[in-house]
Amino acid sequence: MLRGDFTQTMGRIFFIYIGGCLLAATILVILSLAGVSDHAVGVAFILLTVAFYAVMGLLGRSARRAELTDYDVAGRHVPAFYNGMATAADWMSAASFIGLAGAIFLRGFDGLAYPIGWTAGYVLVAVLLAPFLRKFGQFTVPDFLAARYGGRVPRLIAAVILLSVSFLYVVAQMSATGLIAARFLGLDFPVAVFVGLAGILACSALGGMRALIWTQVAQYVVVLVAYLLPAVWLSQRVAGIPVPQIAYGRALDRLAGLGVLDGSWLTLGDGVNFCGVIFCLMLGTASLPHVLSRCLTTPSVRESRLSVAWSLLFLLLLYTAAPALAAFAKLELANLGADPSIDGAGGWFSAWQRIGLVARAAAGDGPAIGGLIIDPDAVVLAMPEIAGLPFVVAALVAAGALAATLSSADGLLLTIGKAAAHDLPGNGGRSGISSGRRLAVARMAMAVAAVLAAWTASARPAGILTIVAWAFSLAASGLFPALVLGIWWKRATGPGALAGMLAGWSVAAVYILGLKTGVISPVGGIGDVAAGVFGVPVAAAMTVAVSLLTPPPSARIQAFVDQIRIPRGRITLPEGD
Amino acid sequence: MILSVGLCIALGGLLPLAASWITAVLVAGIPAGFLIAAEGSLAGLVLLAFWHAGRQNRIDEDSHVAED
Repeated sequence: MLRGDFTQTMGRIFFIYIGGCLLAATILVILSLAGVSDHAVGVAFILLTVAFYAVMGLLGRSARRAELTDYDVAGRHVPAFYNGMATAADWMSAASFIGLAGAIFLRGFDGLAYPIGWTAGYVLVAVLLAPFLRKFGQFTVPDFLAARYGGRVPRLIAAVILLSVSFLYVVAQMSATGLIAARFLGLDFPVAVFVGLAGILACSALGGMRALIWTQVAQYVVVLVAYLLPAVWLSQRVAGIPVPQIAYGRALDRLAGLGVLDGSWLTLGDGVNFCGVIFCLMLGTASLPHVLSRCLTTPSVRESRLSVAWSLLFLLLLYTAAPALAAFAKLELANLGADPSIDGAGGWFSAWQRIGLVARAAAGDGPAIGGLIIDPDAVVLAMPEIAGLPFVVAALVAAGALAATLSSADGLLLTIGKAAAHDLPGNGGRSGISSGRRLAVARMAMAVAAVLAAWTASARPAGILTIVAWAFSLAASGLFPALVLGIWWKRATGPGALAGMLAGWSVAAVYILGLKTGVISPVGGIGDVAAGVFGVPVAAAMTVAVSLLTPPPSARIQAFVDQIRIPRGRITLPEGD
Repeated sequence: MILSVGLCIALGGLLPLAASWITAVLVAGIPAGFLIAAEGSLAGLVLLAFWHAGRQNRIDEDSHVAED
């Protein structure tokens, strides 16, 4: 039913999607005006969002039969503008939607390392990797590394690194769905995580990226609106202008007047980790699988460069609103903290307190605002209610967060499934295993990974943004040197790349685990979120050193490297692998 | 290309660091250093991405290696 060329399909999907969202929102606004309880409206919002994704997946599914190639890069004919929007929607996960404003809320200037690092990482993708991987034209990072470095082992190691990265990323998404389900369905957090898991699996099992790439464009619009609505509303209320990006000056002013804004929030505190986080996020973004695979859906090398630029512009709208959201949240908390009436049962305070994300500050607690302590992960979700906006706004924000999370988790689980079915066997899927069999393996790997991730998330090992930062450090340490040297240094050899990937990934993983378990103490003040500061140099040094000690790559591989650097012409793969 | 990577590092790493010293100047009530790190640096990076795409595509065409 959804066959057709890009614009035709596009129009139809866009209409179905936006129309469905408007309809759902209208019904819920009417319900809440008619006096239906907030709790019921919240539950309805959550269920509608999940149901909506399941239906979109089904619609996309009817367009194809279960073919593994279709599961993947949707037909390579999406213009840069739309592809950029779809990449932005892919990218807007729990980390940017929920984590970012929370980090800035907590740490002020230092939290800005996240948007800066991600943005700079995107530029690195556009300059160093995207056009070349587009020219190479195959589907995954392990595919590229296997072709460049020759054979099964690089593919296997790359697949394992990819799995670890995607897994951590999924854990972060699961934490987010858990928080949303716990708050709006009134469940305990560990139970809520598994309810979220059911939602993610339902959506995932019903659709693939074919469904995603068309829906992502519409999804971008919906998620952005959900994010910006409270920010715009409050900037209108506080400063009289509906542009949060400049209106939060007024909020800062008032906070200073109330005496709750200490100057350090607006200045750089921990310079070492600020730079460290930017470094890890930059290189990590550049090697993240789901960003790179979007580069392949553009029609040409030229378009792949533009596509990255467009997606960055779309992300900018969200990133620049995050500091404003953080400042408004501070102001609203400061305004209301002393009010004892928020303690009443059924209100936002008791709901979040039950999950342990807000509390009345006791003596000796960390920094409190208006006598309250709020977990960074709750800032975005709780803000509309703290500010006294209508409950429908809070539900809309939650639905937006859930949409961002569901689609990210879905995309990542697909990556995991693909890696398991396609790369772990070590031959790029050319061994004669039937595609039906591989699809079954992919599905099973997805389900196992999802359950393990939910189990990890239910223990809340760390905040959402911290978990994501670990994933970036591992991606940067494991993959970045091998990818970049593979394109830009013909002398890089298979053994060199292998040594680099293994060493870099292990160093970063050991550093994170060591710090978390307290076995080692921070070296040079660098925290676990910036573990890649050690991993990347080790990986690069190992790659270079071992490459120089081993014989140079064959002439065919060197010719292959020349070919991918030039947009024109064909690619001849170095060997049959 | 090296120029683009250099500019990327400058805008993404060095500019926010340098700007963090500017705290006395307020723009719309926000310290200029914070504003540069939160918005200026990002806007600069987006412009860089478009500029690089345009420039590199032109280079490809000039040296006759662009796709047909």
